[in-house]
Amino acid sequence: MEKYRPQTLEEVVGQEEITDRLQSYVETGNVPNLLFAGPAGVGKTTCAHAVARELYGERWRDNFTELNASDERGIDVVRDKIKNFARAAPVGDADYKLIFLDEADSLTRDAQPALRRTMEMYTNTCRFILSCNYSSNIIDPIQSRCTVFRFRSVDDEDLMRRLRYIADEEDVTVTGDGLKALAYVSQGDVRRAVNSLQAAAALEDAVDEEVVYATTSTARPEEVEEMLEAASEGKFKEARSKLKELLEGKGISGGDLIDQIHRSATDLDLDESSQVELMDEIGETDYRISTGADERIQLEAFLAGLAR
Amino acid sequence: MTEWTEKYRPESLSDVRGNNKSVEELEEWAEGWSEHREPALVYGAPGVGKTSAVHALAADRDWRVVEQNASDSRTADAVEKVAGEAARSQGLGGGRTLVVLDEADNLHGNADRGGSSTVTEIAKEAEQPMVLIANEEREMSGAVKRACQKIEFADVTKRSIVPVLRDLLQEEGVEYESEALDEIAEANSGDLRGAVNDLQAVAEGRSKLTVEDVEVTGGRDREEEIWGFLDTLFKGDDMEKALREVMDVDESPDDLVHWIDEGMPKVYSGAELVDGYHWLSRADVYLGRTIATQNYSLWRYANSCMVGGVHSARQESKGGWTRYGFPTTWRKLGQTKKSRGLRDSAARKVGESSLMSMAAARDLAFPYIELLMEDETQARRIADGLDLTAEEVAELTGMDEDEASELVEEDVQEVDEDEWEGFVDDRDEDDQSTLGSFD
Repeated sequence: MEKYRPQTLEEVVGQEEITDRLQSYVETGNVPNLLFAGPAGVGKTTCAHAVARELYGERWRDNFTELNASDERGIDVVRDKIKNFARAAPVGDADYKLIFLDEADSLTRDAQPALRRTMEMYTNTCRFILSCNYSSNIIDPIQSRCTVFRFRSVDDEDLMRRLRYIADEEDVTVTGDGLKALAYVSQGDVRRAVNSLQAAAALEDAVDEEVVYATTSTARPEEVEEMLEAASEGKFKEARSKLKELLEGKGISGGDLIDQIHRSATDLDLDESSQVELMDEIGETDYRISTGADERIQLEAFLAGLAR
Repeated sequence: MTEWTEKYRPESLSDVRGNNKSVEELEEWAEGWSEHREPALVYGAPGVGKTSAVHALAADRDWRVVEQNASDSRTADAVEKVAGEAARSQGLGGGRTLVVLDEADNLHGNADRGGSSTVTEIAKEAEQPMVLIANEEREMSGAVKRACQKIEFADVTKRSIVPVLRDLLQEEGVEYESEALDEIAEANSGDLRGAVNDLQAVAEGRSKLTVEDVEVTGGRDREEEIWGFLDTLFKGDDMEKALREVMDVDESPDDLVHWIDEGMPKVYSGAELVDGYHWLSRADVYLGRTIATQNYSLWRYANSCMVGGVHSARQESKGGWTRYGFPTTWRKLGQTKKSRGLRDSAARKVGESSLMSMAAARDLAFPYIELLMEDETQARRIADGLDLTAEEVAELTGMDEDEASELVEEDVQEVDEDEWEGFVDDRDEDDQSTLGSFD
């Protein structure tokens, strides 16, 4: 996986507008403070690393520091650790250093104001790259000091193209269905897609649908739908043995299966209100399981309820 | 090699863009400082030029600057050491030192213990001009506000932002389409620094800036994005599309639910509202469960209910243009926060004068104080004895602020001193020790 983490901005998948802009910062040598917002696995960390690598070359680690704000999120970290790194002079002939603050939205409410002035004070020696899931969790004064880029989830086409490229490089055969299955299991998360490809390729020479689902412990979407349809037609025993097969036969965890059922809801031949009812039911089931209820009994009860 | 916000930071007050009147006030304050000797409180939204103006002022007058901001630790000792010493020193060779306390509304709880009252002390006895800078005037303690001359910086209008951007591009030798500048100014409504940052993001390294270039950035035009999504949700034909689009909305589900709550009654009616609110309520239940279990995968059901459910609740097609508002609940929260703040500061004063904890003052003393204050004469005595501000009086008595400030400013001498004995400050030693043991 790390091997195929893109090293350059050009290789980053599905965020062309953003990477073009970042590229031009690197070319002018001037990177402003940046705020990357977006879901997991869409390239925020990769872009931060790539900017550093292209800016500083081989010894990029010397002038690049990475902090995960969800591990260290108090005001003291901002005042001590971040500030100390920010004010020390850059190494070598670099003009400034880069601090990458991952999950910056988990910085506490009093740590964020402390960060904002640090960002400005040390602009001569240091630039910040902040990442977060939702920019609304970052206080306005920080947003005002950053250029904000909103990363969109990567669409399946871009994702499959990247997977195809890696497969070719590694001399791995991937079928068309295999690629689609990889897109299904990864839900727009490139990191997960590449990991899954690697796992599948380790097991079989040719990566097809079957091996992808097997190595990722995912049910084929069709199987999930068959189970739900059987249940809603009142064939409870059939639905129950499908469930048993998926949980015990294929070793799929209750949590993963629930996620798949939730995703299948909109594919079923039901009107919109029934689809929503179904999603709510599965949510109820998921909640009970997450508070300690038994996953098999809860899933059975859910299936039995579908016959209503 | 630098950021444009730094590169083009105004060097003189006359270069500061927007807020002409505030800049003038600042100038006058500085001009008259040796007579009035009051600190200034400069406040306004982020990015409108407060810090720039203050530094430019110092540069114009050849004043040295000592600055402390929230990135420094600001316990009482630290504030005293840096700001206090500078403020009280007479200055060598007659030169003035401008003491700047940036982000003065962010003196923080435990980490900055005691910092806030030290600021008040220093502000009162400063021998050097001192400026406090803040975003939220109402978060500042009444004592600080009373000690300062207040100078407000308003948002920089779109009309004033555009010329600034134009000048920068001319300086940088970049051609531009004027709509591109309008877009940037629009997206950063009120925030000049944000606009300059965005401009640099899209323009640097180019020879010409077009409208298309501008569309890459834009995490800041939050309302427009969310309004577009609300239209898809309430008026669109495709539930799956709404469920897909919500993944790219830059709002977490616990914020989004308030936007939907605000918008739905403006579009739905009758039975649609019944079903719609059923689903919003279900969504809210999942948000609560997410917090309770710390299992964030439950967020997806909140999304299903607030997007899928609300969409499916619609019975007839909707069109037209809707003015979606900013969630009122957030506005209300701001207000109750203010009210809580006032009650807390009044409780602190009651507590200090009668040796009770703040909580005891709130729970035990407030009911009586509020009752006593129904009488205007008593209210005046209490306000005077406790040094309550007009805002605090208004909060405790329910009178409007004008009445309250009249009451606070009126002379209290007319009341017989004896009536009051024993209540506020005049207890003898024995009383104090008995009361103290309650604490």
